[in-house]
Amino acid sequence: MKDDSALEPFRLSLGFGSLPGHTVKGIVRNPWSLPTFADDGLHGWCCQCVDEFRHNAWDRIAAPYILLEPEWKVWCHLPNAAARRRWMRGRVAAKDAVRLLLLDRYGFVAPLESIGILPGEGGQPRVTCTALPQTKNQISVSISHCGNSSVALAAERSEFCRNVGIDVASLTDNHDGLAEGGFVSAETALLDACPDGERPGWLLRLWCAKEAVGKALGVGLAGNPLNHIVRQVDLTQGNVEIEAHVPGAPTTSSSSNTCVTAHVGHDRGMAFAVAKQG
Amino acid sequence: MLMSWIQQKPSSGTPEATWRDVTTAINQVLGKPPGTTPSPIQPDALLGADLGLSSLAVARLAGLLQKRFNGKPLPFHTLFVDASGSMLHDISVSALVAFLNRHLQRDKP
Repeated sequence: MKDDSALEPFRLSLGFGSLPGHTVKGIVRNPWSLPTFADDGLHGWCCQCVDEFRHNAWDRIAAPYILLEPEWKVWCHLPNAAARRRWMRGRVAAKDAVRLLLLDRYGFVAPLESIGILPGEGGQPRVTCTALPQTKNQISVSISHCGNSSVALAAERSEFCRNVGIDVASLTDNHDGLAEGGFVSAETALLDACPDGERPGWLLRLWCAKEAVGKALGVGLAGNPLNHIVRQVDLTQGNVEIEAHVPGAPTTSSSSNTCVTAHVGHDRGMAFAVAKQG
Repeated sequence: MLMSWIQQKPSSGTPEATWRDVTTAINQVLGKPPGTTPSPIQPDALLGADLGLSSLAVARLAGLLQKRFNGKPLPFHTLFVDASGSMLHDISVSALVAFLNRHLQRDKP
């Protein structure tokens, strides 16, 4: 990720210049290295896509070139233009994250149209790469949206990492009500040592941690943010331990709860959290 | 502006008042401050699919409504479970209003 020359072929394939409507720039795509490493051994590849220009006509023209047919079918059935734009932007981020992974691990410059990102079981994105069939089921990817930006994290599956989760939220938005609606008092009390000016940003990171852990476990928040409880916060290292409840497991058994550590931080005006299911 | 809405005297608890409280809170979460002309919210609009609320926004909405009703804890998580115990991925504004009316009515002396 740090060797710029290695990224050169990837950069050349960035941008939608060859697509119809190329005079309109739709989505700006940037690799994002900060959320890709964590103390617990997470090693991922991350990309951010930002809307530079909102134009529904551009979306309709570009979609068949960006999306595979099964993706395009899903895209067509989304309820409105905003949802379609967001979904497509998320696919681009995810495809780029997978392309970065394939470049780094296989030395392979994958065309955008060779990567498929479709909804899988439990809503987790499922990755296909027609050009490298040996990667089938070997790559986990997670997508998050925030304002006009989408990010995606891709990682290779192993016995230490079955799935990954990422979540981002804008640091500049108003988040009034989040402390009361998203946490119990024992969780917010973990931020008592936090300087007042940093508290809102940390609260947002804790929220992202819950979301990222839910995604990594494939259960989301299951309609209740209190399904996942923040147990410990390391303000220095940026680690947040979450006790997650996995719906469907017997509630009387301790095995229904699992502890996962999320790595949190902030960058590019966003709070972020990444987590993996080991 | 937001705080002044929250700190106003508690809602009268009538269905009409609850509807106003819910739509005001939704517009706050959507970033539309009181005093501006908000887009009309239909009762059958879904919080996620139609109004575009993320899970973070839904949590904020729950927190704002909780504050509006004097910090009274409300079991918002039960909103996303149907009668058979299955998870609902989205709920309508009218379901949220009915939920609040039910719980506020239940706690009246």
